[in-house]
Amino acid sequence: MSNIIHLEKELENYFGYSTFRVGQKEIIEDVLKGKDVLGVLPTGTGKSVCYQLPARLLEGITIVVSPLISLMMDQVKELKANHFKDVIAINSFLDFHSRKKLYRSLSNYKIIYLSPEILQQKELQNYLSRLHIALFVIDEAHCISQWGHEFRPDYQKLYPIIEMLGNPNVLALSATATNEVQNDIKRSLNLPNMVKHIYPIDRNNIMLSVQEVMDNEEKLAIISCILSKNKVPSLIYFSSKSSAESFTQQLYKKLPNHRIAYYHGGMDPIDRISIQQQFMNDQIDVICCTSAFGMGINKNNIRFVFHYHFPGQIESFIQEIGRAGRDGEQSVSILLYSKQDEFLPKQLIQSELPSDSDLTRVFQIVSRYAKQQQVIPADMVEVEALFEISETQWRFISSHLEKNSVLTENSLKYDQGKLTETFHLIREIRDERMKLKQHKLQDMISWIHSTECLRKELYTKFQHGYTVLTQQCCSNCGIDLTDFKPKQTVNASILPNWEMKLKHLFGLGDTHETE
Amino acid sequence: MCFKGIILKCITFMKENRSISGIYHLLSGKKSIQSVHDAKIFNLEGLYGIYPALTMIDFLDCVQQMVAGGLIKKGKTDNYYDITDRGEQYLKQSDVTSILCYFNGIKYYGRDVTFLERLFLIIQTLSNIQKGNTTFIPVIDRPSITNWTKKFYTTIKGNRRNFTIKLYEELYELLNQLPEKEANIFVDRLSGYKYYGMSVEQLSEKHSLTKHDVILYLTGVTHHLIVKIEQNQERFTVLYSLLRDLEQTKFITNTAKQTYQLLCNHFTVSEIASMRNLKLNTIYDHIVEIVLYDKEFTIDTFVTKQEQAIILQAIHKYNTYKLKIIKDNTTSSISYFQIRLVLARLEELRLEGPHV
Repeated sequence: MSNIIHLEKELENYFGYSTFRVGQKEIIEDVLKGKDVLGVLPTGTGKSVCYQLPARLLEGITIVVSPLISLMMDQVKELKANHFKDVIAINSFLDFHSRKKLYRSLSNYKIIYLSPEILQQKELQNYLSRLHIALFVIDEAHCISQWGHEFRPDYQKLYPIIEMLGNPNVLALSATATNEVQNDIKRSLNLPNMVKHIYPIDRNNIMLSVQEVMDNEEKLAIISCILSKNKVPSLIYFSSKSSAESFTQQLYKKLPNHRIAYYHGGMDPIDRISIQQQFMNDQIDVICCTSAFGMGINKNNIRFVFHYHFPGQIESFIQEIGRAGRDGEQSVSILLYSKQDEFLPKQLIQSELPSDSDLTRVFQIVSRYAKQQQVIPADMVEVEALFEISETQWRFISSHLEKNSVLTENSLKYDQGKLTETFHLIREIRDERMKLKQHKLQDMISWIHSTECLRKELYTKFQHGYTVLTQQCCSNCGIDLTDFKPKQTVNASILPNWEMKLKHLFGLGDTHETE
Repeated sequence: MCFKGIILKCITFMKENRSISGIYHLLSGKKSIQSVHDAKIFNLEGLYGIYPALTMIDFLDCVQQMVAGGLIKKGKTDNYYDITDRGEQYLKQSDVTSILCYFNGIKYYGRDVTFLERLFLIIQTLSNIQKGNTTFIPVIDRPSITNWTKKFYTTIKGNRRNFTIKLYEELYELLNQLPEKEANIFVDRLSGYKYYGMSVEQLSEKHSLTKHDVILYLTGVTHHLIVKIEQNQERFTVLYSLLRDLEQTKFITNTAKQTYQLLCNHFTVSEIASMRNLKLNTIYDHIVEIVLYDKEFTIDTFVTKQEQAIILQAIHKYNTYKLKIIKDNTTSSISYFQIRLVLARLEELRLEGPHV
């Protein structure tokens, strides 16, 4: 019992929370007992505390493998803002000298965030193997499984690295992992005895609504009508940067009193930070964004999540609506669907995987390079220019070339027979993945068209039961938005001229200093 | 307004000597010897590198809009443009707006961004600390800036209160000299305690400017501030402390520097080429770079006074800076390399006196 009290005290001490959220304590206890743990927790319930607290309490270093650089950076920034200075994210943007310097000083850090790709670097592996690694965390662990919605080939190469690091305890975390994916994770990590902590992913404070519309005009009309009655933190998801931008312009005109901005991966860093933080500070009410927004964003009072375009799979949808209502208050997800929308994700799937002609072209170039003993360029821009394919497509092809030992760290092995055979294999796998993705898209579309309870249809794929709600459940069971009365945002007053703004920024003048 | 005015100015100054992409490279600050050279010979040094984030797509898009708006028209050859009467009018109007005279690109290239980002971060830091808040998400996340600011802060910590007031006063004085609109845009960009400054998009919406113009306004005001601060270092001590360690970007590459050393040790061009295992033409590029960088470096060893006169004459006669035209109209023994050297020294040679 004393152990439990102790943990809560540590949580308060390090994070300022007085109680654990569902699942956190159970996972942390098992981690501290030295068990290998697989945790599935719904989005927005503080997965990161599950390793950040143990990292503080364990002797040695915690490694966190994470799929997205932006996600890592956000986590590090947030930790640093909370006085955890000994955290670092290693990314491939560092130049040679800063990298060397950083590698030599790794022992000064308590938490090291890494991408699975950079973990394949021999040099880094050498440095890491000299450290005492207390815990090896795999964030977004569903990326290990090719049945997961975000399969990343390098996630499958983690086992040998864990072994090389002296088999530290493993904690695999995900928000969306079906039984199939969970088994894949255990198999790939060669840890059949992982302790599973699976928590229901359905969020009963989010009412679900699906509305079929004629066209984009109607989408604009519906969104602006709802938001005109509600000035609350809201997200609107789009499948492309340009549609997010142009919709922002249209919405400005409809809602002159709302503060609206867009966010996507193509913006300058300073603008990205500004928009994100303005939203956190309630300086902005509505964000029109692509899926790039939201990762690592910890705003707990988002009330509406709209889908102007629907994502290509249910897993992404669950993740995106999971950003609403993290404070437990009633929130709403509204998906607007028109027939034309099906075309977009289909096109996206095709652009993610290499086509037949792509494969033929790459095969010819690779054969020539192998014969002439030329190396494949390390720079992604050059690779894209050489093969005329995208980074995602090359990652897919190269991972299989590596798996079949035709390619090792940019060098090709000249074995025409083996090469031909591998490309046949790649084509088969491509077909399989394409089928899988189309299947997932089909699942998403059938959910949209479902006439049953949307909550039941959405969640029972991932877990046995779901919470039955008697009211405000979903648009098929019947919801009433007029009963929805969230707390409205009040605009902070805006100072009328630059002179006053400057004075205020410096904390001078009529405002009293609190020190 | 401002962006289009700048493009018009470039077209007017470069005439038919350079294609439209030459203007793009100049504005985006391509670190090629050609672009730096162009800035010099066309007297556009102030506009060099004032818009590093400009993409070719956005640039060409704007050029198309200008054609559609009748400000410019297609020239005799592809990718060349001439200014129209309407364009002249437009340029006259935008030339009087102050922003265009603020730019000092070649001098402040690289330093401007560093200074501005340091200023943003130090204001955000002081604003938070003034309110007793020590944890916040920095609006600038480039490690070179955050590390510098952290270190800098420790040096002023003991004197923080005075430093804050002094920084405020200095900024107020400088901004107060600007037109209202420019000061507004600049201050709207700043972040502080529980408050984040506006993005380019938000500024463009609020001040009814295009996104290009917002970016250029911010850069222009920054250049103007730096000029004033450097001119009055004793007066703007606090702002100057954010600048002091920043050196002017040297437009000489390391590899050209090595060639420079060898030339100073009296090795010939072909000796240097074989020693360094480089092509002759590469060494020639280095020499043009050196000539632009070092005003004292003489070109007479590579092109005789007589040859210089022939080249100058052709430039004058055909009123062109196009290498090919000059080459075609001079003695065949004169090389492209020699022409480039003369172009690099054009201003000085003209002052030197009557060769023609």
